[in-house]
Amino acid sequence: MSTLINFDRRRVNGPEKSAPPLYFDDDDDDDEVEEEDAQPSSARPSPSQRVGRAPSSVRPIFLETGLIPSAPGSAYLEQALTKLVCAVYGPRQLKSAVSMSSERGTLSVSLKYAPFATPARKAPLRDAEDRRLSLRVRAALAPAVRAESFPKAGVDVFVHVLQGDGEDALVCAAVMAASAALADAGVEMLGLVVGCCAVRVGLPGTGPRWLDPCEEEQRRARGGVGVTCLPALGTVADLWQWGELSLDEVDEMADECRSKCDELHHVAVKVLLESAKRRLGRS
Amino acid sequence: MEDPTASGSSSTKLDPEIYSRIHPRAYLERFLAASYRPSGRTPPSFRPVQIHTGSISTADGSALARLGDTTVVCGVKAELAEPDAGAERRGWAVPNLDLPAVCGSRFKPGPPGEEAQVWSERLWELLIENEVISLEDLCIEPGRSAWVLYIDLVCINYDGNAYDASVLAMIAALRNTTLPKARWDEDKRRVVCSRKERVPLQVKNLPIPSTFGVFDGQHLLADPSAFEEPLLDTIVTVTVDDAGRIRVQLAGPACVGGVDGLKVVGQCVQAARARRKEVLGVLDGT
Repeated sequence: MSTLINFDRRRVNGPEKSAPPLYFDDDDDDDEVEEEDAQPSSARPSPSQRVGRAPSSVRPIFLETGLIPSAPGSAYLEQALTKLVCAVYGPRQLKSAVSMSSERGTLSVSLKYAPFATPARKAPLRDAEDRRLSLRVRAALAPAVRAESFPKAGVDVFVHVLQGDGEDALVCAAVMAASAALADAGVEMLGLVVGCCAVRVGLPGTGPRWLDPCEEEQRRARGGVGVTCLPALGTVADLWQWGELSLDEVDEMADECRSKCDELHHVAVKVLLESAKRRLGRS
Repeated sequence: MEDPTASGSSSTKLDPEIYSRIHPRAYLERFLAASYRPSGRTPPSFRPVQIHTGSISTADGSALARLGDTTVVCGVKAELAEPDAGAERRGWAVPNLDLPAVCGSRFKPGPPGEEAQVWSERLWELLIENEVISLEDLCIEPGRSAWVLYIDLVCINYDGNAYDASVLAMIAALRNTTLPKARWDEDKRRVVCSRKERVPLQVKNLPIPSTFGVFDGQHLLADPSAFEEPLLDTIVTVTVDDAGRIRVQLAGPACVGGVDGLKVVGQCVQAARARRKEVLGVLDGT
């Protein structure tokens, strides 16, 4: 059944089937064979304690624009283990004739993982996850981009993830990089979009909330909230929630994310100002 | 030096950037008449190489290689599979180059295009025929289990000659790769790996490619850029390995405008030998 399911004549192909390695702990006897991900619950730290970070800390962000010279606008973002590049092309001609008559331009966002970006290899097949995240990033950017300024044309935003650590945090990082890249490309916007996310661990009503969760923290969480907003206008672009959370909790978490977004906005503004200064100095 | 972009006879001033887009051929010709290229390089000069290794922690080995502005990231991930019948003692190496839409406006999202397909195939040939790694080394238990090295390359900025940059990224990533110490457990009938002990992958040969382009049958341009590439008649890649073995790959006619093709290849081989030393210096520095 599995025959040729991974076969693609456009690529160099490996074996029909392969699996990530299984590990055992060297101290213990071989009986302790276990999957890489499944740690015994006793080895875990207390579930409500965050390891190495304060509950409301956001991992430091490195952002730089213009690192892809062949694109009109680009940005590279690094946040702890997360690394992604973003390029903006356009406004350029659209392929489909339908959108040609539109008064507004088309914004398309495509997010893609490199095959080595996650602990388990992502085979380069069409992945539903990539499309889901692309739409989320698009939802955040759409309210900011003045699509009426490029009628009948399209702006393409491509995000390529070199390493990801936490899905919600990745979306927020991608949104920040993409809005910086859009600004770098000179696409008219109402403001920069930045995002922040939070999760809640432990029992309902008691557990702490952690901002900017990494992969492991997101897996342990009971539920989470992500907010993307335009701090310059004081508006929210998009909000999403998952898991089991009370209405009050969602409210609290969204508020905390929003105030954190103001700080992130300063980071993005500083980066863009510096790149604008560099550009002026050059010409 | 006279400004090669200044138009001589015509009285209308044309912006050099626009000129390069409308008449790329004439634009390049004017530069070459003054023995320079639009980037400021001379025809036989290569772009500087930069290599960084080990920055992607989700991979078993990784590297970023830059050739001027062309940037390629390579990540190696190891998985386990049962060897094929007839090749019980061999593992797999699976190199694939992706030229995603991020890296340039002419690349579209979707399955690999022609260039990516051809270069992936050539990377595989290089690995096997120049014995960069030995597939026998990847065997854990003959007929039972062997490593599969998925060598994925992503170009994040395309400015010509992505093949040379890819080979550098691939070799640097392989030299950065460590595999968990693994053994076959007969009772459990599967491979168990040590969480703590890792063994470096043996890289046995360092074939270094150098690519040249022939423009207008008379100019030999080393390490062509994205602007120059579409204007070239012929592209020559010369790969020199540790043993001094040479592989020449030609795309396009060998003889253009009365120039002796063999003489051109001879020049390329000489330049490739010198370039290899330079590149090895950078590789060893990482």
